[in-house]
Amino acid sequence: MPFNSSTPVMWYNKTALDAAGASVSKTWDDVKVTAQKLVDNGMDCGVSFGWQSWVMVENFSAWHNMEMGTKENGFAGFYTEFSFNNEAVAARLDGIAAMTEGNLFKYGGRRGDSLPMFTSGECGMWMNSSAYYGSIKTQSEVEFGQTMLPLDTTVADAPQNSIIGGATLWVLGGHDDAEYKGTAQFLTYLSSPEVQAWWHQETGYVPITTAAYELSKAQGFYESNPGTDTAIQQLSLNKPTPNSRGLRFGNFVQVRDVINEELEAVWAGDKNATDALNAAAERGNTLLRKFERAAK
Amino acid sequence: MVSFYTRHSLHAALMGHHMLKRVHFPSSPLPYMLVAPQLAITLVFFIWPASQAMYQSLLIEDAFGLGSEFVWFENFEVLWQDQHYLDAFLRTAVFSVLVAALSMGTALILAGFAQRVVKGAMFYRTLLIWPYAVAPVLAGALWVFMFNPTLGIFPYFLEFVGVDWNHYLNGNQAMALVIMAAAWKQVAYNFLFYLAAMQSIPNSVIEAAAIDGAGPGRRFVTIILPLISPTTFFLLVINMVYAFFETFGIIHAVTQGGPGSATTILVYKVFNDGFVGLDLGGSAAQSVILMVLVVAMTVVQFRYVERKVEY
Amino acid sequence: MVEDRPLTSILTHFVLILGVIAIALPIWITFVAATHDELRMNQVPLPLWPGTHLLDNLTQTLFGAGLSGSQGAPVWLMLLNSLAMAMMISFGKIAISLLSAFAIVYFRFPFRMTCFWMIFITLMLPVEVRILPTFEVVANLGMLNSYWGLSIPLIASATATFMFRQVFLTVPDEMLESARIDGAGPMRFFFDILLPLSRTNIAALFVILFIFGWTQSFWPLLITTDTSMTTIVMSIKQMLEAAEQSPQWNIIMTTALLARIPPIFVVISMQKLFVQGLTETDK
Repeated sequence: MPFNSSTPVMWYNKTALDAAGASVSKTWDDVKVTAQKLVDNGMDCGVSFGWQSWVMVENFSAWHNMEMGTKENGFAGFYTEFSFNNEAVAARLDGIAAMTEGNLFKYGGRRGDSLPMFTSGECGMWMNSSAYYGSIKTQSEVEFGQTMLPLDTTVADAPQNSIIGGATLWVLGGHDDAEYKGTAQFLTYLSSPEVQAWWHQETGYVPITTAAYELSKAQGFYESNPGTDTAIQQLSLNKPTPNSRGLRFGNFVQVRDVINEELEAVWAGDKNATDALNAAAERGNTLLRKFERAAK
Repeated sequence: MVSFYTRHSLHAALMGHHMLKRVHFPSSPLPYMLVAPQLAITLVFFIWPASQAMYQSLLIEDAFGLGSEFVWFENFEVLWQDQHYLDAFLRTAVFSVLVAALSMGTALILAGFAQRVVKGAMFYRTLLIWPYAVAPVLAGALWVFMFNPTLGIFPYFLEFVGVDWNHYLNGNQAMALVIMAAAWKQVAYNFLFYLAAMQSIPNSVIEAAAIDGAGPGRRFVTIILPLISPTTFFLLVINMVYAFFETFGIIHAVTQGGPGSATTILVYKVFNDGFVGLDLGGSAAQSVILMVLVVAMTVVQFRYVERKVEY
Repeated sequence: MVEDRPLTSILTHFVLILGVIAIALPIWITFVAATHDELRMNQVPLPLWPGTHLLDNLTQTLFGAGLSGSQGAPVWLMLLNSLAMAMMISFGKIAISLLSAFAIVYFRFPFRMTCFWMIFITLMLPVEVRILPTFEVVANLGMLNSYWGLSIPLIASATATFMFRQVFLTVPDEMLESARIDGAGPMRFFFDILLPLSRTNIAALFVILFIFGWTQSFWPLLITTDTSMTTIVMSIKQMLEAAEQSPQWNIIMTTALLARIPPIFVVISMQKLFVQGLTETDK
């Protein structure tokens, strides 16, 4: 059962945007302009993000309806090859790397490590999971909002949909009936509209049932907290294509580490994006082959 | 690892000297019962897992242990050709040398001054030794907190001198951070041994030099340093071993091996490939290589003891 | 000292005080962090002077759920777990090492040297290099999430065994001879003569082993998944990885403060034994 599901969105600092006379960005071109305005207005940095493989490679690909690997991102079977090392992704990453000049972009770590940059008011925009809602609310005095991921107009005319990340609850075999009965009851409780709506509104994770979404709507949550349905809208923006349905790759945790490593080389200015992506794809493919040999 | 004192006795034991009391109890089942607990634990939790690691290093397995293929030394060949592994090797060497140099250097200076203080030496000792009791992962948490690029105290002050601290991006800064954290924790240990070594130098030796007109600085360089060189060598080995294996908690808490792989040292890579990447064979092969390294370091320790005994 | 020049004396104290400050600074900074609230700990620059929230943080840490939003064990339970683990490791190591050293020194029996070498080999297998298969063994024995799993795999120790062997070798042979004349059996000799003679060594070793056990983080992180088995040191690592939020530094540093107090107290209050233990064996 899917549970703590979320998708990356763009967070922005309302006060800072207003002060700099900037509007909420819809495209990557906007992001650059806004970042420049923020920095000109005295901010330390324009934009940052976390979970970079997920946000900047996996979701960037899905959002622009590009495949990340062959065979429908792995859903059609084994023997896939990574194809995220394409010009579109490389151009975007190079564009971001160029933004490190003048601190329009500042890198702040792999997972949520860069969150303090946003919550302390250092950066005006931040891309990461919608599930940071709960902590931004409690840990920051920043007046914030969230909006959809920016569109790269050189790649696509309109966004496709973003993909989900998070975890799934599993029920394992080998227990007795009474325990399964209890488990079933618990899962029913967890997925009940009330519990899901509460969970969604407190944390920013996506509700796993339509009923919970409807309930949140009825409770007036989205009206009093504008932007909180961004994640849901992103996920359901269009009918998912094979490129945006999700990913299924072996050894993917390790692949993400590889992508992290290579991207960090780009941000540090040690490599250009094309070389880094090619290296990441090659190392990733090696890991896929290893996985297939062992799993076959 | 092994201490100075133990290794003396170990060396004697291994050479077969006075292994057994001249007067001893007659043979009976009792001694077997006495060694049984230790042997059982050694067998189950040391020797068996180590042999498993050796066996697994010859396999390619999937993450759930369902399928496996015997591949002889392929995992080792892969490592040998993997530039990232070779880099990790070199990086570990640099890391260890710098940790040892920084913490031993600091300890040497502090001990050098502390042994000059007659009143208050114990007071200073008390204030300097307690980081030994701080767990590596806590030391890591402390340092990562102080150096958080956005919130930390040190980056805040570093900015005034024009240093833009971001160890999430800058590999050298990340390396510097884990080195500082690891060295900080080890200063206490080195300080104790240096202080003890300096205090055991006979006063007459120092006085003779003083009569010859050597000032405190000169005496330190020409007399004290050479006399404590065995301690220096001993500490060097201990610190290298510490940096190789026991700093895992620090890396795990501070950088997780990044950015890039700037702080991925060998022992972290074993963990990361095995537990995170679930590349069981590759991780086991790395374990085996580490075991060989420990054996080599132990041999170096013993050779040193041998020389020390003759001296 | 040989001469007493005021200038060098001032320099000496100056350097030493500088060293003490440098070593202690991290602790001061954590203490300060433990006295502020969460909001303050997310603003730049962080405070260098204590605030007023120490009590709140302590209560939340010790008796609340620790980090808000996580269902971790309260810290008092973690402290108990750490204490249990450190004690079991210390006493376990001391007990099995005493026994095997006794056997090796006072008995001649077949495979004596084999035993000796098997104990010796543990020196060469630090837990870091055999981590995965050791984990599998513990899992197969059903010792995950138990004090046994936390402590037993760490209690085999060559250094402690060799240290006791050395101590026993210094015991005069006459002791055994007179004991035998009195008709004492081996175990009686062990308990009445050897144990009392090794008292200081045991105490010194205990100090070192307690710290060794207390500061473990990697092993408990692997062995326990049940939050009621969490040890305090490993909880720091878990808190640093706080999912979907900035680390709550006030709570983490309060926990870190609590985690450090017991071993530091042991080191400072038993300093003499600690130094002796460190120089005789270090694990």
